[in-house]
Amino acid sequence: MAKASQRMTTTTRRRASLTTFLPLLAGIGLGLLIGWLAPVQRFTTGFDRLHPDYKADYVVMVGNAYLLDGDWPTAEARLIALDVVNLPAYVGGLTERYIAEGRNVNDIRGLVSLSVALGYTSPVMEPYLPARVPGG
Amino acid sequence: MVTRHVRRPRTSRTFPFGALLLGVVGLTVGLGYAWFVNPVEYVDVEPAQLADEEQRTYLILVSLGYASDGDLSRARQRLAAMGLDDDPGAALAEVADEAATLGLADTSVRALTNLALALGGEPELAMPFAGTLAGPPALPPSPVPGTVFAPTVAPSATPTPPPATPTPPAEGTITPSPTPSGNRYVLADQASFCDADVTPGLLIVSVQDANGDGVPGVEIVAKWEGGQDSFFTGLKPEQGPGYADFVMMEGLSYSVEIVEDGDTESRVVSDLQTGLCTPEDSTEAHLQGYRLLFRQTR
Repeated sequence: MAKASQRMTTTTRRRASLTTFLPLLAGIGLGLLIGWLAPVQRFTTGFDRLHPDYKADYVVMVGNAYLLDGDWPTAEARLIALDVVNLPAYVGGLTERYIAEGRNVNDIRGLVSLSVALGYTSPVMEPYLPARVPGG
Repeated sequence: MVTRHVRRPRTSRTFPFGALLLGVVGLTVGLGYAWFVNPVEYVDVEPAQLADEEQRTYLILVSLGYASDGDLSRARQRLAAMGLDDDPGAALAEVADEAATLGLADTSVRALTNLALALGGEPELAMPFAGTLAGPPALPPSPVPGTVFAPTVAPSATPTPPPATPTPPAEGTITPSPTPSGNRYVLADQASFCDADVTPGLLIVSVQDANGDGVPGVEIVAKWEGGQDSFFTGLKPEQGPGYADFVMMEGLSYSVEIVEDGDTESRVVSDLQTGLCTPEDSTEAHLQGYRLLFRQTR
């Protein structure tokens, strides 16, 4: 009689833990599945996550905008959003690559302006440098 | 002692609220972990996957890029990367209106409006911003000591690519207007054109010196009933240093003046009527444009 009662208690406990943990585990599993398949990250992705090609094009556009409006604080903030470790070297390197590849002159001028503003200049940029004011 | 086990019939078993509650708790824990503790991190994304705010900034940059190089196909490609390959004009018009409402920088609103118009969009609130980006020619400040930017177009080491937008005038009258005496510039040519590939209602102004070379930094004022706007040559270096353009609105009559030594009264050409026309290679009506050429007198 006592044995039967003990067996019943064990069975009840097992059943109780099953009914407790099974739904919990199933819920966690489902949550992970949904969370990783439908991530919220998509809605918070910044420019630092862009593909390198798009990053380069982004910098070109920032250069174009800078040529148009001359607004350096805005241009700088847009570049910083890329979260590049060494921004002058990155923009300068991109500028030199564009010059070497003979890309669009307007794009190169914008990039050179950004490079100069960031304090990065090199001899290949010389032809694209904005004109100097006499005595300047 | 007799123990009686009374089994309830299955049908009367209560709903497992406890299990459901635990399931919901588990789901919450799982979602919380997957979204906030250990979220999926995207790398090498396309512009279409950027956050909303970044997408707006990207759109402004695409518009400014178009304002800078006038390359519509390139702007289209950039917009396609943002997933805006289906009617990008309408999407841009919406953003331009929003930008106008939010009071963003004039340059950004103008750029968005112009690109929206070029892509067939119809901005409403932002429409007054349509036209060439006004302001001095490229004058980026120089945070680096020793480098001073001058309002001239920098020399180019490589050949400038051919202009993307302008096409030869297809039709219209070439009737140079009489120029008031004392002006340094005379109207050398005037023509209307109808081209589906060109921004509707585009007014193209070329300013040349006596040798026929483009002159940058010349201020031009377009006036219409109830308004006026000024724009400058040389803001689109790839089109030539003496190039400037302005987008006219349908149904208005414009006069165009060149400002010389601050004199805004030197009217040069008037009665530029904007009307619809049908381009040769299209069946859809298009807003005609004008091309004006001013040349400096010796």
